[in-house]
Amino acid sequence: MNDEPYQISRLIGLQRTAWYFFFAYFVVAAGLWVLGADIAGRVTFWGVVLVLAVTLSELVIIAEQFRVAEMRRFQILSYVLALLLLSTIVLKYFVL
Amino acid sequence: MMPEMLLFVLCGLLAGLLGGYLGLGGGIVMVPFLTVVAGLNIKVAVPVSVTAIVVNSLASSNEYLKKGMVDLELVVALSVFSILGNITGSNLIDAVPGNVIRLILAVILAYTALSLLTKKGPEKRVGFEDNRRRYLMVCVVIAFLAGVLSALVGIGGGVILVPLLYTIIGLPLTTARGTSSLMIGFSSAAAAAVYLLNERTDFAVVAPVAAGIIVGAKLGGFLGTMAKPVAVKILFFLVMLYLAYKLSYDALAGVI
Repeated sequence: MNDEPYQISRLIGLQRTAWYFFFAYFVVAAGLWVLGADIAGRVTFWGVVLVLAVTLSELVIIAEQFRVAEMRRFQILSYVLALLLLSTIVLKYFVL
Repeated sequence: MMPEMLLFVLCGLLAGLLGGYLGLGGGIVMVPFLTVVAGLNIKVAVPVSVTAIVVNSLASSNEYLKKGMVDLELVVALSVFSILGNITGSNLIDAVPGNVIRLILAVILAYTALSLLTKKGPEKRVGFEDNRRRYLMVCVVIAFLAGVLSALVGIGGGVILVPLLYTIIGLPLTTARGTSSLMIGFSSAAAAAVYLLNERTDFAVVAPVAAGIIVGAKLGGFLGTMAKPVAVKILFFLVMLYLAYKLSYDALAGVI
């Protein structure tokens, strides 16, 4: 699999950074729940939103790697995936 | 509050460890743990599990990506259908009786567990391109159904996807697990978003479970890349068989 035409170092880098960030974030959020802080719910909510945002970013990075490798069909599919995720949120939030 | 929190962290830790090791989302640990051990309602446990699976995928797939054990083309191609299934499933949670879903999933799991142990999947990518083209439609349908079922019962769908990628497509088992671990993150994200917007997510449970799962997944993903295929196969078989038993037992006992 290492002979793939695209590079995945950016994706790996994003995931590594996200790992450190979300580890610290959710430990703090869990600590806030233990302390009974009022903002615990809001902090966790935004944590989940950030997780979803990073997942979207992963798709954009994958799409760009496919573009560089001139794998157009997969590039479009990656954006379709991102669009599907976004439209779910938009439809649920603003329409349904 | 404190013992409860520790219980949730432990749940996440175990789910992450097993999920990362096997290329699953960890929902097969979380949902039974949260319902049976922590005593939560399944309709609370499912959104928590689905949300934590996205976090799990971020952490566990990283180890597989680093070692080149993820097929990004398959991830993208199958995730589209898996996401559509997930959106469908997460909107159906109140409409479909839980015991019906459990029973269907139990049958699928028992079948895949047996086929995983009896069928010989190629460890090299011999004929892989042919298999990918020939069975793409079958995989698309299964990915969609995996998406529906995973959103309904709170599992990532890895228990269906790994055997699918291994036995039908012919990916090596380690690559099948790596591909699945990234895929389930994308598909579960859709369901997590729906549950979040429907206000079905219990944040007091999500925070400690996510903290636990992110550590467990990293460790599990690392161990998973070093594991021998035979050991993983046997462990996978046992996990799926247990899950099939648990689901069918709950379904027949009328537990929803």
